[in-house]
Parts: sequence; C-alpha cells; structure tokens
Amino acid sequence: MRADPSPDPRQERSAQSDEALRQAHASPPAEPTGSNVGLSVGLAIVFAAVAYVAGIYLDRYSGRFSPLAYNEEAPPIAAGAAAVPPPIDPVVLGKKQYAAACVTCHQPTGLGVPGAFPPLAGSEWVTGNEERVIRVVLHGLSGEIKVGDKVFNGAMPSFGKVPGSGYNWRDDQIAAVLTYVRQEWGNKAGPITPEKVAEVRTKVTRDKPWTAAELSAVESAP
Amino acid sequence: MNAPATPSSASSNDEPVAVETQARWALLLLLALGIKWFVAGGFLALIHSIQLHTPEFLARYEWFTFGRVQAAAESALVFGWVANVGFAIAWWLLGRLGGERPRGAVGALIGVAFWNAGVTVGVIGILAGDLGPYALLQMPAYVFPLLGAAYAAFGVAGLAAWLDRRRADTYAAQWYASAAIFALPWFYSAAYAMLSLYPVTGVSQAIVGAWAGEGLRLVWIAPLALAAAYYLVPKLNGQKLAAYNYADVGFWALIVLAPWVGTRALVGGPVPVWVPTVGVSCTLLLTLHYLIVASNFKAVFRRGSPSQALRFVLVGIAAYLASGLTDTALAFRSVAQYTQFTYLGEARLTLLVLGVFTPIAFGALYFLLPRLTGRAWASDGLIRTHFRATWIGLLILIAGLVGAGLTQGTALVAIRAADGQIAAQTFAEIFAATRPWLLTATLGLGLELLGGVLLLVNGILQLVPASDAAHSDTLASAPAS
Amino acid sequence: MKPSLYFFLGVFGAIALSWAAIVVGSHRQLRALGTHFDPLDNMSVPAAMSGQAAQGQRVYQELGCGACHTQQVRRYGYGWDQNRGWGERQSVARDYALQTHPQLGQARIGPDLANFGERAVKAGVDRAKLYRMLHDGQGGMPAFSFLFERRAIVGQKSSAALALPVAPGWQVVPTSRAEALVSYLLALKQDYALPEAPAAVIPAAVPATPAPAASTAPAATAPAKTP
Ligand code: HEC
Ligand code: HEC
Repeated sequence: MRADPSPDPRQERSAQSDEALRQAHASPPAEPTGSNVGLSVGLAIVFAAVAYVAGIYLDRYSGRFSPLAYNEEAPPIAAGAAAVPPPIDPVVLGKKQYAAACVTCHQPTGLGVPGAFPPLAGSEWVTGNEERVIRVVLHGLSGEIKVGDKVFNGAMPSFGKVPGSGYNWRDDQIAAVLTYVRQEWGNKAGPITPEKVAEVRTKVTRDKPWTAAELSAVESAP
Repeated sequence: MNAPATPSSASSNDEPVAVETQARWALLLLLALGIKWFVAGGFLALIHSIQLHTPEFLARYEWFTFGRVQAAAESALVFGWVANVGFAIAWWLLGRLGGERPRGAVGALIGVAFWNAGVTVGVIGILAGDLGPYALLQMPAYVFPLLGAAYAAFGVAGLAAWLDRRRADTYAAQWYASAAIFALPWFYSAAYAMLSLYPVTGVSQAIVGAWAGEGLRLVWIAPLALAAAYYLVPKLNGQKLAAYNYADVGFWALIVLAPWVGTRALVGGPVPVWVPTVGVSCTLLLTLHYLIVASNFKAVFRRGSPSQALRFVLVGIAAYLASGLTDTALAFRSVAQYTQFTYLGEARLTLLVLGVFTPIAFGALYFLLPRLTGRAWASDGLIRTHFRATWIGLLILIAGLVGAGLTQGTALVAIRAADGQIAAQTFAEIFAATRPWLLTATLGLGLELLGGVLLLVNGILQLVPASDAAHSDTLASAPAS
Repeated sequence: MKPSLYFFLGVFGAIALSWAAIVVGSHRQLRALGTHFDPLDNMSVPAAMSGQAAQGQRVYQELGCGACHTQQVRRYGYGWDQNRGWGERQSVARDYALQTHPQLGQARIGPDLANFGERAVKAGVDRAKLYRMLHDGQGGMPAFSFLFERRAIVGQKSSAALALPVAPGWQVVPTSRAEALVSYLLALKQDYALPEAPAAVIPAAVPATPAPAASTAPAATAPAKTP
C-alpha cells in the first residue's frame, strides 16, 4: 500500500499512519461481508455448543455448591451434616475402643491368651447377664474365674469413671465396647445401652475389682 | 559495523507523535529497565532450568536454593520485564491512538524508578527467604506498599492517556491496554489484602492465590501482549484486520470470563468441588475469545511480510492461540488428574511469559526504539538472528517442558495392569526419565536468552554515535504537530 | 468521558463479580465449617500444630519446598495418590482449617507430603534419617546442607549430630531451623476421620473405576435425609 518503496529493515516503517489505522477500524464498521456472515453463524454455533457443554459440566460436577462436597462422584452431603454429626454406630465406636484398650490382652481374635487372659469369644460372661459384664468393665475383675472350661487367675483393670480407674471411660464408650464384643466373633447377645451403664454406675459404689464369686451372685435387674 | 541509516520523515506514515517526544525519557527508562530485568530474570530462569535436571547446582547456597530461584526468576520476569515493557508499550500506543500530549510523564519517570526499586527489593527478598507460596504472588508482602505507590504514579499516566483521547471511537488495542493497566492493581491488591493484610487461613488462601495468579496472567499479561499485537499488526502490514467487528466481543469475553478460570488449578484438591468446576466451565467458555482473536489475525499468517517486527508479533500470537487451545484441553478433570502438578504447569506460565508476551514485546521494541532514539538499528542481521533464536529457542523450550511433563504425568500413574498395583516407579526413576527433556528445555531457554543478548547488543550499537554522523534525529525530535 | 466510565465499570465489575463469587463465596463457606468434633475420639480435629512444627512450616515455605512437593491427597480414582500410599482418604478443606500458611504445593517432582508423618513412622524414618536426607539430598531432591552447621564438640557430642566423617573434635549438627522443619514434617498427618471425606473403598483387584452402584446405594444417602 503506502509502504515505503525501499524499506530499510533496520527501522520498521509504518505501513499506515495511526489515523489511517483508526479510520479503517472505526465504528460503524464496514457492512458485513459474506465471509463475516459465515463467521457469525460459525461462532454462534461453536459458542452455543461450548456453552452447552460448560453448563452440563457445571451441573454435573458442582456438588450443588456444597462446602462439603469433595468428591463429585459421591452423593451429595446434606448442608447441615457438619453441624449435626451423624448418629454414632455403637459397633463402630466399640470396635475402636476395643482396638485401643482391650486388644492387648484379649487379642484381636477375642480368644485371649491361654493361661493369662480369658477369651471373650463364646464366653458366657460376655453374652450372659448385662449387669455382670458391665460391672467387669466398670470396676475391673481379679481372682479366679472360670471361662468356658478353663480357669484364669489374673487382674483386669477398671475402665469406668470410677475411683482408681486409669481410663475413665464415658458410659457410652463402655456401652459401645460391650455391644461390640457381644456381637463379634460369633457372639450373639443384644446391645447394651449407655443408660444401662449409667444406671449400674450410680447404683453400685465400688472402689476395688470384683471377684467372680461376687459377680455370680448378681442377678439380672427386673 | 553498519552506519546507522538516516530515518527519513518523507513518509507521511511516520509523522512524529507527541508521546514519543514528550514522554521519551520515561519510555526509554521503562524499556531499558525492562530489558535489564529480562537479562536478570533470564539468568535466574537459566539457573532454575539447570537445577531442574541437576539439583545439586548451587544447592550449597541458601540464596540459590531451588524454590527461591524459581520464584525469583518468575517474579523478575513478570514484574520486571513484563511490567516495565508491557506498560511502556501500552502507554505508548494509548498515546499514539489517543492523539493527545501525554500527561504525567515526570510523575511516571519517578514512579518507574520506585517500581523498579520495589521489584529489586522483592526479588532479593525472595532469595533471602521471604517468598510466598503462590505463583505470581511470590514477592514479599513488604514491597507491596512501595509497588502500589509507584504504580499509582505511572499507572495514572497510562490511564490519562486513555481518558484524554481525542476521538470518541476507540480501537481494540486501546481496550486491551487500558484494561491491563487497570487489572494489575485490582488483582494484586486484592491478593495482598487477603494473603497478608488480613490473611485468611486454610485453603481459602490457595483459592485467593489461584484466582489472583491466573487473573494476572489472563487479564494483565495477556491483554498487554494483545494490545501490542492489535496495534502493530495493521500498523506494520497496512491492512485492516479481518472480522474486526467481533473484536469487542472477543475483548469482553476475555474480561468477563478470564477472572473466573483461575481456581480450575485446584481441581481434585482440598476445596469444595464447585470451586474448580466453575473454573473449568469458564475455561470452556473462554474459547470464544480465542476463536475471535484467531479470526482477527488469521489472514495475517497467510500473507508474507518484510517486517521483522511483524514476524515476532506473529510468533507471539501463534503461541497465544496455542496456549488457549491447550488450556481448554487440559481443563477437563479427566485430563487434569494426570497433568496436574507436572512440568506442564511450568510450561503454561513459560508459554505465556516467554512465548506470548516476549516475542510480541520484541516486535514492539524493534518498531519503537528507533522512534525514541531517532536512530535505526545497527544491524539487520542481528535482528534476523534474534528472530530465529527466539522461535527456535521457544519451540525447544516448550517441547522440553511438555515432554518432561507428559513423562512425569504418565510415570506417576503407571499401574501394573495385572494386579492393579502401582508400577514401582520411584521418584528417582521419574527424575531420571524426565532428565533428557529437562536438558532440552535448558537448551531452548539458553537460545531464547541468547536472542535477548543480541537485542541488547544491537541496541547498544544503535546508541553508539556513528563516525560518519550521517544520522539525524528527525523522527524523534521534530516538534509535535 | 461517559463511555470511559462504562468501560471501567465493566472491567471493574467483571473482576469484582468473580472475586465476590469465587473468593469471598468460598471463604464464607469454609470459615463456617471450622474444625470437626469427633465424638469417637472425643476431640476436635484437626488439632493445631505445635509451636515448633508451626515454625517448621515457615521454614518449609522459606525454602520453597512447595515447588517440588504437594501436600494434598486426591480422592481415590482421581490420579493414583492413594495407590501410592500417600493417604487413606482425600484431603479436604478442613484438614487445613487451622493452618496460617497451608502448603498445598505446586508440583510433584517429589512425593506428596500430606501424610508424611504417618508414613515416616511406618517406614521407621526417624529424625536422624531425615536430617541425613536433608543434609545429603537424594535422587532428584537437592541437598539442604546449609541447614546444618559444623561445630566444635564441647563436652559431649550432641545427640543430634549427624553420622558424617568429620575431623575429630568436630560435629555436624542441625540448626534450630532444621529441627523445626523436621518436627513439621513428622507432624504432617491427616490420620483422623472427617465426615466429608470417607475413607476410600479400594477394590482388592484391578482398580476399575469405582462402581457407581456403590455410591448411589440408599444406605449411603440415608444420613442426608435425616432432618
Ligand atoms: C490388662 C489386660 C486386660 C485388659 C486391657 C482388658 N482385660 Fe478383660 N480381662 C483380663 C483378665 C486378666 C481377665 C480375667 C480376670 C480374672 O482372672 O479374674 C479379664 C476378664 C474379662 C472378662 C470376663 C471374662 C471373660 O473372658 O468373659 C470380660 C468380659 C472382659 N475381661 C472384657 C474386657 C473388655 C471389654 C476390655 C476392654 C475394655 C478388657 N477386658 C480389657 C485382662 C484384661
Ligand atoms: C527439586 C525438587 C525438590 C525440592 C526443592 C525439595 N524436594 Fe523433597 N524430594 C524431592 C524428590 C525428587 C524426592 C524423592 C527422593 C527419592 O525418593 O529418592 C523427595 C523426597 C522428600 C521426602 C521423603 C518423602 C518420602 O515419602 O519418602 C521428604 C520428607 C522431603 N522430600 C522433604 C523436602 C523438604 C522439607 C524440602 C524443602 C526443604 C524439599 N523436600 C525440597 C524433590 C524435592
């Protein structure tokens, strides 16, 4: 166009003045040419398609804009779930308690150690009278005890919020661990409620472990 | 040495303009400091690149430990090179297209001096250990007040050049330039407020960091490059841009959508899923912007041009479109899960700073500097060599980083199909596998920097007064009309 | 003047909108979450870091470890973070609720460290081994020998001294920064349960994509329906 006839490559020449540049691109623009119409349609179609995909994407992966959705594939979590924790499954809690405290003596299998720690699996002490087994865990147990057809003579620590306990477990923790051991390893006894544990704890004051003989005398509450 | 040619004022296209005469010193200072930072930042980037494949390089010196060098190189290139040269170009073209005398040139001069002092303190601060953990926001918080005050002094001059424009109708280069000048303080100060002044805790910080970092990339650095491209291309080839009536849609698509895309970097991370999802969706929508930019410049690629400057600009535009394309492809979760946390992240920022901005800025420099100094470049051959070094270096650099990223990404998820266990690819093995690629990247970066040195040499030769005194200052010193 | 005003309002508004929606929006949501009280353990999680570990976090940031290490486990089926043994569940926002300088990290040139403390215990990596690793570097990780100093042995040799061949009468000991950093690394644990991040059910055999049937089972959605 108006380019210098002999451009010096060492100093870029303007091919048009600023004024010409602006004139050429000034609005209102030149009437749309044929290719421009094609472009309009093309752009519109492409953009519509992209917007569609983006919209679907947003809908599918936004986790309903919940602050608790971290896995877009998982079902949504209710908004209040953080404030109101889901109810605790006593078996889950009990398993945790067992793993934290009982397992060292009674073993993961619940079979104990022959000659030292009695089994909980298949033990009539575990699956039998609630009042008795609550007392064992609350206050501890020592002296001779017959479990199945074996006799043990050891000492089991107290776990409840009672004098002399190094553990000071809450009622719900004791209820949970007992509920757990009563349904694990083939045991089939009903759950024990925290209320029941609380009842025993307030009813009985005791600052030393039980003996098997004393416990045998305990009758089920009516 | 060639004798400098006599720039003739015969051509009516090269009428002297007010901004080049009246803001000459401020512009020259910006460009000179920018080039200084390109050299300094490039040097740091080279150290970083070497450390990628040779971790023990300079590891004994705490100031040159890996993470600090990376952050310092990035900050020097972005806030030294991009900020100075990008602002100079934006201000200059706003002045040219606006047609008014520039205001605030003296204030700008002072502001520029303080800005560069601030960046110097910032980069040294990073090397001394005061670095932030988020990309592009690594400079220590204590330089912010200085940077902010300095920017106010020269940024205002840029905005004045936009507001003072003589004509009501505007051109695309003006939109991109003024939006960029405006966006930098917005994103930077919001990030400063939420990361340092009243810091948020936990992952909210990462969200601020991702939002502001990507905002700076796409709403500041990219528009600076685009402004120069929109101005220089028709200026140098004398043609009207194709499909120009869409340029405004393209502009607003970028401004409206780009600030939303940053958090897509957090995909899969410890943030609620909607945060990255919004970013991914907006990345998809942003294709509209890239399509329009592509249609605007498409025709230019077909026509050959004798202009070296135009070739530089075209490399930058091509890199920009490539970055848009890959951004879209890498946005999807299904892809991102493998490419996230790999060298591809580094490749993205490198592509924008060294691939998009830098070549376009070089093109602008080749056009602008003779108009400021009143002298032609000393050597045509140096310009040609620089051009080759730039595009070849860039290709090798990006290929190296992408190759390393893909190798790393696949190695991280290599699974033995038989038993579903991860193949025992230790990080030492992954490192060994990526090493050749990283060596390649260093080579490319070296070439790229060599090009910068050629520009510097050419510029210095340009300033050395020629013995035959054949030059004249007609271009720059004639009184403004 | 008027068109300029609209122009700036447009640019300002566009950025402000994204800021309000993404940054402020997510911040308000996350702040409201707070920590989680775990009734099973009878404590709030996550717990605040110890003073020395928090100092170590600063050292970690100052040395730019985040350039090579992330601290975020992604969910099972997304990348292979959990297959690599980096964590038993994905990391979520609450894991970082109390951290003033969370280090989510930018790249994985080295392994993820979100649960490094737990992993170290299992692998028998103790303080001495960590000091040695930081001092020497290893397989792609640079050495950080400047975190240690050579000191004359006065009286007894320090118990933390590194087993390095040094001149008799001398020892190489970790600086207080190295000590803080290692305390921090060993404190990196996300070993508690959070309701929003259930432990992944990892199929025993070939990791097929998680069966959608499992995640939409009524049992899983039940808690959502409780009022
Ligand atoms: C320090 C080791 C030790 C720990 C810990 C321990 N026990 Fe015992 N447990 C014993 C011993 C020893 C006996 C037998 C006591 C005796 O010989 O009088 C026993 C007896 C019992 C019995 C009655 C006998 C039987 O086998 O049925 C029950 C029930 C019981 N433990 C439950 C528990 C529960 C539940 C826990 C965890 C909360 C627990 N134990 C923790 C050592 C332990
Ligand atoms: C250049 C990248 C790089 C930097 C910077 C880096 N690391 Fe590493 N890091 C690695 C690599 C690679 C490995 C894997 C080494 C191996 O297994 O042989 C690693 C391994 C580790 C490990 C062992 C992880 C495990 O699970 O076994 C720890 C801990 C660690 N780095 C801590 C740090 C700390 C702290 C810093 C900062 C002072 C740091 N790293 C800086 C690359 C890096």
